[in-house]
Amino acid sequence: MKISMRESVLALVTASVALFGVTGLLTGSKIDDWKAVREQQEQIRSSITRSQELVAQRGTWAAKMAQLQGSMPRFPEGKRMDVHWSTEMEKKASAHGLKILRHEVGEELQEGPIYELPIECREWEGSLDALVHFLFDLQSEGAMLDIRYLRIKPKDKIVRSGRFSLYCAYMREAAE
Amino acid sequence: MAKDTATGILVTPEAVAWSTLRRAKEGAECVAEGRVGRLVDVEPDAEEGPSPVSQALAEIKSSVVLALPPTQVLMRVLEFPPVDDEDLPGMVELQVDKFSPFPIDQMVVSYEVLSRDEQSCAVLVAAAKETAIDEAADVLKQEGVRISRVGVGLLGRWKSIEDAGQLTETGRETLVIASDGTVEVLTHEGGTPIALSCLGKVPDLADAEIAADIADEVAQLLIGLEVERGRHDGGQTITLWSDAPLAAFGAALQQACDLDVGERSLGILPPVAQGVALRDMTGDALLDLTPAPWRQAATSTRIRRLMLIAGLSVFGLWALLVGGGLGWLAFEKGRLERLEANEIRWMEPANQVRRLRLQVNMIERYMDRSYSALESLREISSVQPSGVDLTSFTYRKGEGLDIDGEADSGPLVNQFNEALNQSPLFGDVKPGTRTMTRKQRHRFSFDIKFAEVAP
Repeated sequence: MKISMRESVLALVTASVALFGVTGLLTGSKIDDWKAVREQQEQIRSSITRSQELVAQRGTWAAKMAQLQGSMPRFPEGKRMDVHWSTEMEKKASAHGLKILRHEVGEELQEGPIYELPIECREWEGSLDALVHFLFDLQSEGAMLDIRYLRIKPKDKIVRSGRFSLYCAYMREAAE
Repeated sequence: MAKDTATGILVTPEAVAWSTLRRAKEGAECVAEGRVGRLVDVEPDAEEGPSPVSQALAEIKSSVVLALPPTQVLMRVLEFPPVDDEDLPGMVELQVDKFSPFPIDQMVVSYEVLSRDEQSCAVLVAAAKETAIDEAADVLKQEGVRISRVGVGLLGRWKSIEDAGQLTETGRETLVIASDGTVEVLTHEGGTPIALSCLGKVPDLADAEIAADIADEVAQLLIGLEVERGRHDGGQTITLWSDAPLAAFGAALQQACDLDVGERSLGILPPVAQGVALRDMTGDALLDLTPAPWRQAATSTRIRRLMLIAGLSVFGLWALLVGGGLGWLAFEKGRLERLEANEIRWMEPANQVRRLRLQVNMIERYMDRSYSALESLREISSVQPSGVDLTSFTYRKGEGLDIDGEADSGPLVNQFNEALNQSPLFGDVKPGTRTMTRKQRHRFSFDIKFAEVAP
């Protein structure tokens, strides 16, 4: 069978188009793979850059931490802090005429060298003045005491009642 | 177009002679040549290995010009009126049909233009039987030699004589070439051929009787030429070229033609094959007796080769693209793995700093009193108008306040709302539903966000 130049060229072009077409169809998913890989690479590069920037700031944060640690109260390892802080809270409340009628000490939390102890005061009672003085005392004592939640309701014209959450922060020192 | 190398091969029933030339600084140099005899009608013996012809031709791998022996070719110099190139083939075939003893469809015809001016066009025409060309080519094709053109041995000889400066520049000179038992006659005027013919095989020119017969034939040719073209004013001479001295033939020529006969030895000239190669190397638009089926076969081969190259190129491109794509993807995946490893390497030191930062933020949160419960209570008390009483106060650190209360009038509630909005401590203040109590007081509520979220 004789095949002319024109027929040969047509056959070649058809075969080429078919080859590249089928390849194009089959490689569509590979292109998606490639795009996904590129996207992942970008995310990881960005993550590495963030990590590197963070590591570069280590000195700043360490210096800040060293400075702040000086203002943290320190207690010996193993000391029962629930008793300590409950007593401290009640002492300050009674000093200003605020009654702590019901409270609950939560679990001690730890983040590195820092410890936190939440105390939930379920019910308090007293005048607004007593409350304000109590809050002022907590704040000015220097101790790491922080009111995270406070609710005030009038019980009568003078007396107020409510609840609050008190968080106490401190550090522990290993016994020598 | 001038070529850098050319090989001419003269195939006669008795021998195969070849010569390969290469372009040199001055003209051309012969890089290979040879001649081997052929055993006609003898089948090669497989046990004795390849024949001498096979051995010789096996060395030739370049394309060659096959030169036909003069006995196989009819040649004429024809004068045409001025004619266009495209009309010339038809006119040549018409003329060949007149003088050829064979049907034109069995012949291969070719021509080359010798001279052309405003009055006429001189054309050298050659015709050969296709079967004769095929037979001559068989021996080359069997050895895989590719034939690029089919020429005529006599023209190779003519080229050698011309290049050797052995032509008479004035007048009409007839060259009688006696070589390999064949006599060829070529007449030229000032270097332009005007007649060519072959007198065929001659048993022995040393024989006086045979020499006289051949001399008479030459004389007849010259008379015919003189009748056709007239006597030349510059005179007429005969030069006898031969392998060996042929005194008897020379004398017979002189007697039959009544012209001076000069004698030359073919030994001073290069072989015919070399002349053929040189003509191919330097000539342009030369006659070509390649049969049409060869050309078609060559075209088919060229198409197949082109298609093969194109197909391989397309496939190569495809393979390159696919391979490149897959390779690139693999490279990108490899890079991703390296980046992941790098990310893991940086993760632990970064997490240490993150924890440190978290601890710092934690302590600062304790120390920051800007948005404390006491500060919020103080701010509310300071902006609370007289006539407004709070019934509920809820503080959430880092978020904001919810307050409920009652006021003596609606404008007081609005005033309180406005004051809260203007407080630098608070950001978004959202008033809740307002209702009236049984005591005709305005009950209200506010959802207040801190201006800035405390750390």
